[in-house]
Amino acid sequence: MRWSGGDLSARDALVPLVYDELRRIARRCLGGQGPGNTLQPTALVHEAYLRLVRSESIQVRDRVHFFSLAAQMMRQILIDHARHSAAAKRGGNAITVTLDEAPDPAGKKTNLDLLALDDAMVQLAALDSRQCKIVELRFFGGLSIEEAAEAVKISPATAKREWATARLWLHRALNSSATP
Amino acid sequence: MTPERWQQVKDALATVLESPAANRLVCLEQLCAGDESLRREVVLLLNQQNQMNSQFLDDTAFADAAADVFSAESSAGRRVGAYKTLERIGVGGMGEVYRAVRADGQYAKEVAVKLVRGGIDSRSVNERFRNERQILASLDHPNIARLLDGGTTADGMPYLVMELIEGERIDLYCERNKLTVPGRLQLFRQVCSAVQYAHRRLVIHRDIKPSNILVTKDGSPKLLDFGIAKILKPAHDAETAFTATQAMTPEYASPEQIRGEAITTATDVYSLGVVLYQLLTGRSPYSADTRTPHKLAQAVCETEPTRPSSAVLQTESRKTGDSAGEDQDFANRIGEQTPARLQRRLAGDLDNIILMALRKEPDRRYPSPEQLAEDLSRHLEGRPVMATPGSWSYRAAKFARRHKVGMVASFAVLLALAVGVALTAREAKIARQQAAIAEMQKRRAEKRFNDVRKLSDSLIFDVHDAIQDLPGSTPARKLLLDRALEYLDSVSQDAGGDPDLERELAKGYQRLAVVQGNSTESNLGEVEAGIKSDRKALALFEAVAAANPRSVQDQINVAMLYRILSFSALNDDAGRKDLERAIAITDHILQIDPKNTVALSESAIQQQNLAFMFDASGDRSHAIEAYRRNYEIKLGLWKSNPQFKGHIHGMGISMVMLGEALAHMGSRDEGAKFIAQGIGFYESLIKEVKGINERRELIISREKGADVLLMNGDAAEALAIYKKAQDDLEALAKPDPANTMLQIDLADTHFYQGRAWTVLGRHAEGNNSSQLALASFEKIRDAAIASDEYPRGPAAIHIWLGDAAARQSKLDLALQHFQQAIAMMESKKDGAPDDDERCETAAALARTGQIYLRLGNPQQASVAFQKALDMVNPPLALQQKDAPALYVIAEAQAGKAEAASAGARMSPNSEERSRLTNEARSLYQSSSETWSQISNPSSITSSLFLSNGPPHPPSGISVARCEIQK
Repeated sequence: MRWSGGDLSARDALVPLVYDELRRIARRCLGGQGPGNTLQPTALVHEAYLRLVRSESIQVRDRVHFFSLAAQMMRQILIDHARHSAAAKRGGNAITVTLDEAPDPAGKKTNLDLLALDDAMVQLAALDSRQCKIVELRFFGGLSIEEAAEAVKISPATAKREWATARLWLHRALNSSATP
Repeated sequence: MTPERWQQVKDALATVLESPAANRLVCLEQLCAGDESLRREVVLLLNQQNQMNSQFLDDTAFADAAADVFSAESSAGRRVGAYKTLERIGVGGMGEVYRAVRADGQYAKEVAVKLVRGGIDSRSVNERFRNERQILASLDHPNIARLLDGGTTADGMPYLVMELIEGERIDLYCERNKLTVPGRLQLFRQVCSAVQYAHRRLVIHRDIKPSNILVTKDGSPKLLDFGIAKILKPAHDAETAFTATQAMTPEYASPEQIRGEAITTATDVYSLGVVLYQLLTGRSPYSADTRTPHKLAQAVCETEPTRPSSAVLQTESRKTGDSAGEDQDFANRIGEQTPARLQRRLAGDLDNIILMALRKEPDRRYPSPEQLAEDLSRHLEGRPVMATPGSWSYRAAKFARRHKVGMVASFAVLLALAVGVALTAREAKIARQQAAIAEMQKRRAEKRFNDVRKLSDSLIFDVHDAIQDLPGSTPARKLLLDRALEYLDSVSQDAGGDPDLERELAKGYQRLAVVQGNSTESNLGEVEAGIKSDRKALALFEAVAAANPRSVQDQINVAMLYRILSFSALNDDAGRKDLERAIAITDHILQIDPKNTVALSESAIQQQNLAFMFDASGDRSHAIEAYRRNYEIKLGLWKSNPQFKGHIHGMGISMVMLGEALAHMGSRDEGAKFIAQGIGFYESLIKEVKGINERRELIISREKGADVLLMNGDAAEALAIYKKAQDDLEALAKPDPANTMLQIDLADTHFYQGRAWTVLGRHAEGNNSSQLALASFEKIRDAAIASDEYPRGPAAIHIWLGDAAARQSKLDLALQHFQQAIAMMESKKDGAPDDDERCETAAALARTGQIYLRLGNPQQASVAFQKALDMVNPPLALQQKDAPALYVIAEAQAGKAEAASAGARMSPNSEERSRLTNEARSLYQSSSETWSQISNPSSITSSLFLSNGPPHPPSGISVARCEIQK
């Protein structure tokens, strides 16, 4: 599909495809929450959509490529928001604590620190950019192993290995102050 | 750690992970032998597994993290305009709501501050807010939360300041306080009057739902967020498609909101309906398994809601076994002892009232919230209500036509008048202003559908063309067709006044019609739908042509449409008139511009249709003239551009058709030549074109050639061709089993083989093939009916089976077959039979006559022969040189003559004998004359049945000799 600046009709033809993919992302966002609730996380999707649709320099070659762009964008947006809130707070990062090893006896859920994850991913990228890309595609883009493999042009078996080892590395990175 | 090192670590780690747990240590040792730091690294990472939550980095982790990012962006404790936020009290819509106070401490009174976020273009939000603010701020009603202020924060976030309401959601309030049905209705009516008040001030809420209706401690409902949806709603077109279903809760959104169409006061009525539904049933109008917004949106637009009275009794089985318990709970909370009682309470008036508010079509709902409230009053007071069950002609499947702007207002007026409520002048003014609002919406929608148009054209038609000729594509095409029709319909209502768009649409409908079965292309059996699409196209094209009298193309388009329409009504006057109109338009163009290829192509097809029309009425000689003209035009076109595949195809079709017609009229040699040449064209065509249709036509053309051979007595060679045709068709049909046209063709080939076998006297094989053909027809009966091949195909088979039986002297069996054929032909209900059908029926009737004669029953035989004659109108047939009819007539006349002879022989009465003999003589005479009018007769009739040859009067009856051609 053609989609570079000026070719509006091709872009408009993309609308329903974009829409579907983004809804999929939205569904992931809505996954963790209760019924009939806020659409707050869909603002995330909305923003991603706007950035994609408005950007005229992006060349989307195919569906998987699109989705990997979306993953990138999603990461950017989330991190932006997270940094913005962190900055807005006087006195440092007020975002919830990092990952726990065992379930909290009080039952309170503690969630992933996205800024820390982002930092760790940057470090991972320095070691192995393709592996970091896979993490980005899977975690931020919601792609399956197969889809991620296709996007990065490796075999699913390799992708599986990359993902498994990355997870361990990142877990370690997030749980220790000093990274290897 | 370097990248290279990491690869080593990673590989080792991966390998260890992939080996079974028992072997891991060993594996580890092997891989890291000697490299202590490597081993350390791998072990460190391996240990993470023990500590790692299995949900690390999975989907729920993502969702929670994303949610946290947003919720963590708490704006509590910050300065927003003249206010200072305290704590967050809600999250919803496109923003968060905080309790706040004035920063300067001037008033202690608390307000609600709504912060708008989420990538919205704040500038346009502010602009819209400025426009709306005046009106919204003027809403001063005890049941409406007031809008106090608004603006943008320092970092560009828009906010709105509203009256803070302490209260409980209306649905929860009703539950907690166990309000009875009347109690809930009274509460609800107050909500209606609040909405009505706003409507009078031209403010539509747009987002009515239980979370926007709070009930305070003193039991007073308050509506929040009036008109705010409009302020927040982005205007940018590219976003509209997205936000239409995502930025609102689909559960409460009206169909028109979901579709992005005009929002009117009726939209609020709808949402009120949903709230009422919930208050009285405890559930949502659309079934629970439409959790995904998309499915729900679809349900809202297309499915009828469950009747409230049915919904409270979950008679359908549910996964949790406790539905009965839930129903009972709800019934209790609403003050009814059992669900059954609640059902009775709701059935009737309340059902109708709610459903009326929930109608898909805005102008079929209550015209105002006030009307809804009044109907509820009437119900409470025991008076008859306005709501009626509604006509079920508005069915769930398709959304009814969107009404033009003017009609919304006038319908409301009419309805109001009908119930005796006079519209005050003020309300009339509002109705007009409503219309103006809707008009603005409409213009905005126009821009959107320009995009839709491009989308529908490229996405749907290009894709369709690409897959149309692929074998096996029939189900996919059907799906695409449905989608295409939806698109075209949804866009066409707004097309008024834009000739380009109208033309595009008309083309779209036309293309659609062609595939929907209005031609002989791979038939999806949707002829009626095709006609409807054609009429739509015609209306549009005529409008365009009238607006552009100089444009040849536009005139041709109109002609084309008339021609296409006529094809579906060949037997009646309307069809004829349509075709004449088409021909007149095209001839006029050709007078001015004789070489115009578009007009010439159109003219050729018109002649073809004209030929079909003449054939249908038995006017065979005029039919041949038309076939010839069709051929000559095609010839001219082809000569002007011999490479063009369309012209090559045209030559193939026109030559084969002309050849067939000539052969049936007796000119078998000339006919065979034309058919052979036509086949030649097809053969060169399919070298280049890969499609099914052309191949199929080639096979059928060969069969038509074989028919002529059969007529010339060369049954063996004909048989070989039919057999090959079967093989070829089977090859085509294999990858495309849903293609019913091919199945019909296959049934036909079996029939043809049966015919040939019978002519050869091989009755066993003939019987097999014929029975196989019959069975095949039964299997595809519906499709064959739609293609007009049933019952004429099977009936013809029975005639041949009867003939075979008669030749073997199995008279009873023969009679059965003939009677079956007659019954089948007579059972055909739709429309008057065409000439070929009449000939077929007459042939069967004549044959029963023959059997009766052989059985020694001349009276019955005579009756049968007469029926045959009545069927085919001898004077007209003679006049029109209707060869197929002439064969049957000659036969029936001779048969009747024979019956009269036999009757004479059997009669004891000399007067009667004399009379009958005279009758016989005159009939034999007629028969001879009829027969002599058949040019070049053969042993196979023009209807492709066995012929008995010329009449043979018995000795003793002298017949004045006239030319009896051999």
